[in-house]
Amino acid sequence: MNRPLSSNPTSRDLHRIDVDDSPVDASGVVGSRHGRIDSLELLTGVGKYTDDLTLPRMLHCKILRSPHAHARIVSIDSSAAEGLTGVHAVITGADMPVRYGVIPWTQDEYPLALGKVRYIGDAVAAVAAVSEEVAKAALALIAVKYEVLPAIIDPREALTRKDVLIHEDNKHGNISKQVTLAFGDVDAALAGAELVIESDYEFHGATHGAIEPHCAMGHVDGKGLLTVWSTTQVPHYLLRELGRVLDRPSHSIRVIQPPVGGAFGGKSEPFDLEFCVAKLADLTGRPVKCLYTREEVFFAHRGRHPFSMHYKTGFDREGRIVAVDGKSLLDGGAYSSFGLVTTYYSGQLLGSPYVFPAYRFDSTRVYTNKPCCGPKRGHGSVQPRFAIEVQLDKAATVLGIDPIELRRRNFIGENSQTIGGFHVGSSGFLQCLSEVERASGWRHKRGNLPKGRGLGIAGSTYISGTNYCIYPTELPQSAVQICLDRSGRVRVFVGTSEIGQGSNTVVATLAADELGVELDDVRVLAADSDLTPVDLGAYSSRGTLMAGNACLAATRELAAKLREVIAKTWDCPPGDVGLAHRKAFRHSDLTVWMPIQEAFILAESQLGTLGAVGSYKTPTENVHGDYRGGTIGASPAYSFTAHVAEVEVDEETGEVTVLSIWCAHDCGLALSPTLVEGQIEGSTYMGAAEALMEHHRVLPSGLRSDGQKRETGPGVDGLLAASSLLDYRMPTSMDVPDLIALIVERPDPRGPRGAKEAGEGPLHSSIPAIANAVYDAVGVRIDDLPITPEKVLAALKRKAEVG
Amino acid sequence: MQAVMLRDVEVMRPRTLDEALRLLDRAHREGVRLRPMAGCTDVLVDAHFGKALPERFLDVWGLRKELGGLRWTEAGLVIGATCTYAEALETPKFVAELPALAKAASQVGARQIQARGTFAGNVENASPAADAAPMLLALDAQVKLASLQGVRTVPLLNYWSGYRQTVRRPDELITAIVVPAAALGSQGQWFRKVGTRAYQAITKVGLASRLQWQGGKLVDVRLAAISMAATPKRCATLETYLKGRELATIDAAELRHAQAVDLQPIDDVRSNATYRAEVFARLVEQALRETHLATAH
Ligand SMILES: Cc1cc2nc3c(=O)[nH]c(=O)nc-3n(C[C@H](O)[C@H](O)[C@H](O)COP(=O)(O)OP(=O)(O)OC[C@H]3O[C@@H](n4cnc5c(N)ncnc54)[C@H](O)[C@@H]3O)c2cc1C
Repeated sequence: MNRPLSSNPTSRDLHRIDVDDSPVDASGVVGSRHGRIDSLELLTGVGKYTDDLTLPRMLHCKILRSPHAHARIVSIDSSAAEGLTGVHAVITGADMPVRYGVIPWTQDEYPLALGKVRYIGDAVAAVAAVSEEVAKAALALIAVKYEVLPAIIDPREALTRKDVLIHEDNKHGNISKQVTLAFGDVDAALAGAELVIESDYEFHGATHGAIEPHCAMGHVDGKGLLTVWSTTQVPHYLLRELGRVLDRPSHSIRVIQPPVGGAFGGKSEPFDLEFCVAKLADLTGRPVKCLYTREEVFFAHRGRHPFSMHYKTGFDREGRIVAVDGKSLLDGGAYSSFGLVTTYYSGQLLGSPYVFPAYRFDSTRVYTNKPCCGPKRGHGSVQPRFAIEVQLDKAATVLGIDPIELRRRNFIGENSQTIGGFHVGSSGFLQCLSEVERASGWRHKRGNLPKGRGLGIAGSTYISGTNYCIYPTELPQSAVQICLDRSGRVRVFVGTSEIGQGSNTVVATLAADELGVELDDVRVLAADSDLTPVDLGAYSSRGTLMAGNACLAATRELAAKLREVIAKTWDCPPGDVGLAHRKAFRHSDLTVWMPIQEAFILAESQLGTLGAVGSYKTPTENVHGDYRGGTIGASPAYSFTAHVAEVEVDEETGEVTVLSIWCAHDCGLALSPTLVEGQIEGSTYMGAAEALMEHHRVLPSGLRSDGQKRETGPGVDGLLAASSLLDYRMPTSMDVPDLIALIVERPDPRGPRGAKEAGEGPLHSSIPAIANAVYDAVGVRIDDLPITPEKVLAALKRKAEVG
Repeated sequence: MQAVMLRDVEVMRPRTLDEALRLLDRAHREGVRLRPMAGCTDVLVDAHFGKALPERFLDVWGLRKELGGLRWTEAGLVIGATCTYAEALETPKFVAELPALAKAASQVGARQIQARGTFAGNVENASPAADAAPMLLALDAQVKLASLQGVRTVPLLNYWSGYRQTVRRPDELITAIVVPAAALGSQGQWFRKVGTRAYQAITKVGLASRLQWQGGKLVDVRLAAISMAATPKRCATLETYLKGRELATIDAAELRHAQAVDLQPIDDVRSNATYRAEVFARLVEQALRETHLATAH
């Protein structure tokens, strides 16, 4: 039922939103149970992903890839391909001889290889043709002469071999980045420790496995505007790099990111295909599209870096950490990607949630002739987290302390500082521990489970965005523009990238809540550089905190205007006006209310068109350390997580089954609890898969992908062991454990309404929790991931032999 | 690597078995490779991974009237060449009489694959990692082949001639797989697959077996190994060692010794030889224990 607003003639003929007469519900949308605003559209197939888009006269692009892990390109003859009917253009490295890379200081990639190829799958040439089939046929006609070079597959070899240089002009041989930082007197602390645990850990590589393959379409219009549609999760960085490589000013490029079918870090930098479609569209005057095959997705990779780690951790008698000394070798693959950041993160993100009185880390990232590694969910910190959490478990065993209790004793506290100088604000870590302890029945189960079953615990922390942008800037990191009008609708223009994580829903939730409308009344237009303000993209779990704060800045400005106008009508102070669920009302007397649409009409008639912008810059005070590298990894706020896993080990076959896994995650405040649970589930499953199954493995010398032996040496090393989803062991719905997602809320003053992050944190501790549970179950430690049946069985055999 | 362009492939769709055999015969005489296709769950995988393909296919899916379904005859159970796993699993008598084959069928790929995949395709594909074919081997099944020259029956024991090779002539079509009457409902049918994941998994090591006990003694032993040799393989030495024994007299070391004569597994991307050998031995031990226990009651 509507209340007519007789005083306003301009709005009389508008069809009104139906608002019922029920009592005012002041509770708001934040924290309520709701799904994603875009899920129905996507689930019904109406939403259009990049590959669903076509344009008239569109051409298809295919990319020729290197069959060698390491080779010099002697010559490329594309004349036969160019002569094939239906082929419109062929390009090679010489057509785009500008290096790019997401980190401005380490740009070492060409869109198409120039001079050298550095892994099997490196892009060499691209064809635009009338169909994919013709483009493919043309690829077969391109004659590339290679001079095959010895390849480096083993990262240890990258350190020692001086005769093979993957990037000849790199000042440090095959070392891509080296970081050593030391805080306090580590050696003295270790020397005085009651107990020192010293172990080696191997963290294998894993890839993202997003269901949607990378895809891009380019088009240059009559006025010279280049538009690129892409499955990217960083439209802004893509735009920057397109501008640099193609030598175009930013305003002549438009990047549009349609809905993305999963990314997980695997689409967080530019790829060969985006440059190729842009260049080919420019050359042919036609729209050009390129869609990766699944195998190309495995080549593109940028997945989790394999880490070889050596950790020394000292403890006192009560299980308190006295010092941590960690040395890591990161296998970076062929290029830099985010590697500089990964190398810092490998040490910097470990400083919480436990106090480290003395800490040293020494991390070296090397180049190898393999698909390039980059960021995957929990970038750079999942690997050292595995090591430290197993170290704690080992100490608890030796000292006879319950591993949950040991973690409590080491907790760094709220409003504290890590030894590296990072400011930790809110922290619900202790609540996370208690929650998983309670929910899993830890106290009565632990030690009382039948043979072959065990429980393990681990904790972790993660960032809510990085305080400092990838390129140095004083500009805002996120921005939002909001409009309302007489229809009762709210329009949000935001640069964030919806990649399935729910960023559109997060801004819609905040906008709906602050402006008193329902979620369905909010339209979000995201990630179109012509229409939306700049946001840096979906990475490092920055979206909720940064775009959320930007959104709040804009909505609060608009809400204040609304309140003022309404307060005048009701002759009450603006602070007495509430806005919720399509109603404006008086807090002091809930019987006084008007439909929110009337409030919008009133405000629009008095103030003119209603709009506001909001932007977010990270804090400058009390964030990070005051030394070189002390800013990298620092975040405005940190999330906290704890996992308990219950596993069963089949001692006959070595197979490990995770029966149940409990995850408690402190996300600050859950703006959309269902989405937070979804992220806890997705993260934990992904972690469980990395613990037990997934392995992006590159074969060393002499192995073919079907397992047959073949000759070793130049040109035969570096094949992918699993370049299909049949052999790459992603879990199916039949492999995943029972999962209990527990939300812990510890709002942080720096987050929008206290929100921090949920997208990546809940992955970390799942892996060590499972590893620790395996030990509890059968008494063997598998410090070399993934925990395969082969390794478990071998370890059980060794244990039986030793007695 | 290169997905096949299906439009460049000729697919022949005979409506009767007779027509199919004539097409095969003609192609054979003309020296053209005409490859049968049933559920296509292997054929299309080959195509996707760029294996050399013949330019012609013979689609037997349309022959389901003649080659479909399950038929119980005096000789045994006739599994038609187009009978899918799903069809068999929906037949209670099949599941009751051949529980281990049903278990194997239910673990091939997942539901979608089971709806298309056929027993005959599994046999002809001759993969060492196949699941249903080794169980058929343990059940003494036979392959019925037809051509214009006539019909013949080949025991599975002699059917695989090498890695992904069979004795089928290019002009022959499998019309059925027959499980002999003696095997139907027989005791001691046992199957276990150790795969790379719960479903959609290729078997790393597996055992398909039939172990018959009488008065506490093993009177009949059939062990077929999965992913342990170039083809699904019966273990003659191991079977001889086990035959006539009581459970208590089976020695773990001797068992492994005998096994090593029959099977020399390899390292590959899915597992390694050590693991395969050890787990296979344990599967044999588990099968012995469990089938023994089942007959003791
Ligand atoms: C995702 C996936 C998972 C899989 N998982 C498993 C698994 O877990 N275990 C397993 O054993 N297999 C698995 N397979 C393989 C496959 O499903 C089985 O081998 C299946 O039984 C093949 O049957 P089909 O009817 O699809 O054979 P097709 O692909 O049609 O044919 C297979 C072969 O048999 C030949 N052929 C078919 N019918 C005849 C006939 N009547 N006469 C002569 N030759 C014939 C064909 O020429 C071809 O060489 C999987 C396949 C996929 C795609």
